[in-house]
Amino acid sequence: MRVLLDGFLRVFSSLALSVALLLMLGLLTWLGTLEQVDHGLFEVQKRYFESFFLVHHAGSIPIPLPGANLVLCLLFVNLAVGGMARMRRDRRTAGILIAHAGILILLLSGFVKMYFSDDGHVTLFEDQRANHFESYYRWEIAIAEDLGDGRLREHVVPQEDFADAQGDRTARLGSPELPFEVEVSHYMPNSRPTPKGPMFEVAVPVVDGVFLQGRELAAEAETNIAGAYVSVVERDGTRTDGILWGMDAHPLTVTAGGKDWAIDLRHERYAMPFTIELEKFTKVDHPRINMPKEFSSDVAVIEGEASRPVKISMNEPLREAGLVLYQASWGPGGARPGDRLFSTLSVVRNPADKLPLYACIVIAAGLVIHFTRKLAGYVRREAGA
Amino acid sequence: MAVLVWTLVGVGCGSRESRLRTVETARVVTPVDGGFRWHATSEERFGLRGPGPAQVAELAYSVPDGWLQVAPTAMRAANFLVGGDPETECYVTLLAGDGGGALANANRWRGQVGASPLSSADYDALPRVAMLGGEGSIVEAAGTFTSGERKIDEALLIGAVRLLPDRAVFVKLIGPRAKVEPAREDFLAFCRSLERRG
Repeated sequence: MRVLLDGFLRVFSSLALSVALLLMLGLLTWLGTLEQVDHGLFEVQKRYFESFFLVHHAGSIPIPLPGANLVLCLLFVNLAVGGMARMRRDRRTAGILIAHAGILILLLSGFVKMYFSDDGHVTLFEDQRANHFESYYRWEIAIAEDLGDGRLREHVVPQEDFADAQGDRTARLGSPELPFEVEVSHYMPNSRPTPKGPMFEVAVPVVDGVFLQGRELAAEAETNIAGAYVSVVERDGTRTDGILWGMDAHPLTVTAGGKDWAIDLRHERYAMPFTIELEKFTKVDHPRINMPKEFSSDVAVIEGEASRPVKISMNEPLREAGLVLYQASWGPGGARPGDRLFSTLSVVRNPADKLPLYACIVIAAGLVIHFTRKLAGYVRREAGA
Repeated sequence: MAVLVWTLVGVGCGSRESRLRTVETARVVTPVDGGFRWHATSEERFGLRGPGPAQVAELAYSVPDGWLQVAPTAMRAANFLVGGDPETECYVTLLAGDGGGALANANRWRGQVGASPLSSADYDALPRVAMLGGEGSIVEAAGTFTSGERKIDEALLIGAVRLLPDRAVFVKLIGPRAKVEPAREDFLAFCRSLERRG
């Protein structure tokens, strides 16, 4: 047992492992950057940086590689064991120990961000309000009933529960609170509803003269628009078929159990503990060209009866109730002076939001201590020579 | 053991797999964005339109018979399926300024079907169509169309480029030659019908 532990410590505390891991991280960053040209940021981030293993294709040659997630986990262990536990601890190594602790905090913040954060956006025209933000990439199905007082009761199904309903597979969604089951089929990660013409046949169902046409996945994953077929199956076996599409203007309405139900495929939504209203969006262009020099959003943050004005600009996000709202973009692209513009605020809920800053302060402090001690030693030696 | 056998039989027969997933998340929400419309039709939900007069933000036009207007996308201000064929598309793209240049865009189109680029003199000699208060240049190229993972063998591309003082208007018809060739006159009529609003 002792031998095993010693072996573990020797391997995981070695400087050679640190160098190998850092080189691998550099390689993954390089390969991932190149892959973004063809596969877009989102796909590459999942494949190269959030994975434990991946297969990189150099032409037709498959090369198995560790994913950045695994490399960073190993680096964390390597730093914790080699840089903290096994390093000699005295005044001479204090700075290095502190710097290593800072790097560990930095890595930890990355893990917290990856596993415990939500991010998305709020897109608003002037005078519009929102009390939720939505994901750029993930989808959900919401089954809503009208409670009659301006509120909706939503039953929400995450993407994992229906995204495999492709080919021959279907996904049945049910709840004791629903008087029906929803059968999802022909899920398409990128699709377009298309009217069925008389001159061609399609391999998928046609509902109300419309079918869902699958499209190749776009490199920019946020431009993919998911779609699916649904059948609402009531307890007496009555079926109502419909098409869901991620960019529809209105949800599918079905009547079941004597009530109307709205079924919607939409980007995953996250509730905000406040409402935000865009009061004014300001875009200042560079002289004589239609390229913005700066843009900002004057918003009202509404909590209950209270409302307060806030300006969100590119370098001044709003931090409120654990959320950070950044000025991200605007649209529509190519708008002319006088056109109605919308503002897109990127929203992040990250419990480790401040950790990178603290990590950098700790690392800087460690390096200052270490190099100050080195400098003092050099000065002393020179003075004594 | 019986479960295993039946599972293997089910998989072997290619039966439609279906398992019930319980919807676990329920919440009450108060929409503050105006909500949505109940009982909307498919046309209203998906933004589908048939032939006839139509408009997008700053253009008005007449949709030829047999064309179906489908939902716009980020780069397509107006988007049509020609003859109901999902492979044959016509769409209008509006870009600020000169949109990167008429010749550059014409050559980008030609590159998509593997055709050689035009010189400035070639571009100036292209046929024209009356559109948007002036003349647009008609670019045409045939070959194998590739864009992303999309590929059409024996494709025909017909495009119209019209530069306005503050705007570049691109109209592109692309699809199999057998479908695009008969739609040529409709395409030109569509270009002639374009009008600037506001």
